[in-house]
Amino acid sequence: MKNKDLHNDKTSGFKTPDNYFETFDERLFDRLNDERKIEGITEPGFSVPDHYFDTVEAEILGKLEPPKKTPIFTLNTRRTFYYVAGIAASLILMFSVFIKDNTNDEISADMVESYLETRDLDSYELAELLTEAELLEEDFSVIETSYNEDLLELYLLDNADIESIIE
Amino acid sequence: MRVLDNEQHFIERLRTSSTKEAAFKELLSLYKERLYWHIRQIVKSHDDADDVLQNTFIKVYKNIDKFKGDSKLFSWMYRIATNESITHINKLAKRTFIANEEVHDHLVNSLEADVYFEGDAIQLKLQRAIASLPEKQQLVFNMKYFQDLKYKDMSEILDTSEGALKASYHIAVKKIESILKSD
Repeated sequence: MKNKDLHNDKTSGFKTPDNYFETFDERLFDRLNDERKIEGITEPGFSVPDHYFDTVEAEILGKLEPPKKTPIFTLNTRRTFYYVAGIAASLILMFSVFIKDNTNDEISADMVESYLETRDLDSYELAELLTEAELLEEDFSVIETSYNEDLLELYLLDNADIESIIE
Repeated sequence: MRVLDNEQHFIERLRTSSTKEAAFKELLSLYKERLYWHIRQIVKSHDDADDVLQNTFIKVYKNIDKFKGDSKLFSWMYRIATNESITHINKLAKRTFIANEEVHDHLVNSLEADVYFEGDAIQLKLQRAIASLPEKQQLVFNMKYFQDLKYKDMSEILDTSEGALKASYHIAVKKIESILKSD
């Protein structure tokens, strides 16, 4: 606008936010409603002991702990050692008592024997149970034994029945 | 409402050990009355309000390092005061074997014999009417009606939208008016 036209300016240059006048009534009634007092009551009716607000500050300040310095613990003392050793011993004891391993890897020869007897395994199954390392050649070498016929006859009479001899 | 001029700077002073005590004293003198009345309107008795106010400030002192600054300092303190008050009431309910919903009635009933309640019959009636509201509506009503807090600040303190708070306040007023008229 040129200077010479300034006296013809009818606008002040001020603006209002969008919808200011459209929402003014609603906002005004909201506020009037908010400020409306029920039965004229303005205070809840509570009171405090005399000088309460003068004394409460000191009471609160008295309850605050002074800022603590971080304590430094040395680990080299004998006492610390005892504590650590005690904890370690308790842990070991706890593990040995509560987490006891119930499985026993050692199987006695008797147990194997009774297993083999009760399972009624045939020779193929028995062979499968043997590991390769156990199948050494010398185990199968014929060992010269000296026996006489009388002993053999006596053994067979004692240990074999007639059907198996006939077979 | 008087607020801290430079809140960030003030929080720094509260966190620095050499300035902490002086800053905390300022905080006490600025907020002790306002927080007291907020607490008092929830717990009703002076002795309980005194306990809760002290606990609130001790918590503020101890936890200022945990204040993240995502709300105003005073909103954070109001939140602590509100939580401490509600915790106090719940503990009282447990101790006296009263259901949580009935504890507010119990507190108001004690007002008649309280030397620090000087309200007249209509003020006592109002307290009874407030006690009959759900807990959240009681908070909203007290904060707006007696403390005249802005919805924006209440929204930060109670973590509820301004719209919901306005609705809650108007419902509370209507209920209280109808209770007072029916008596």
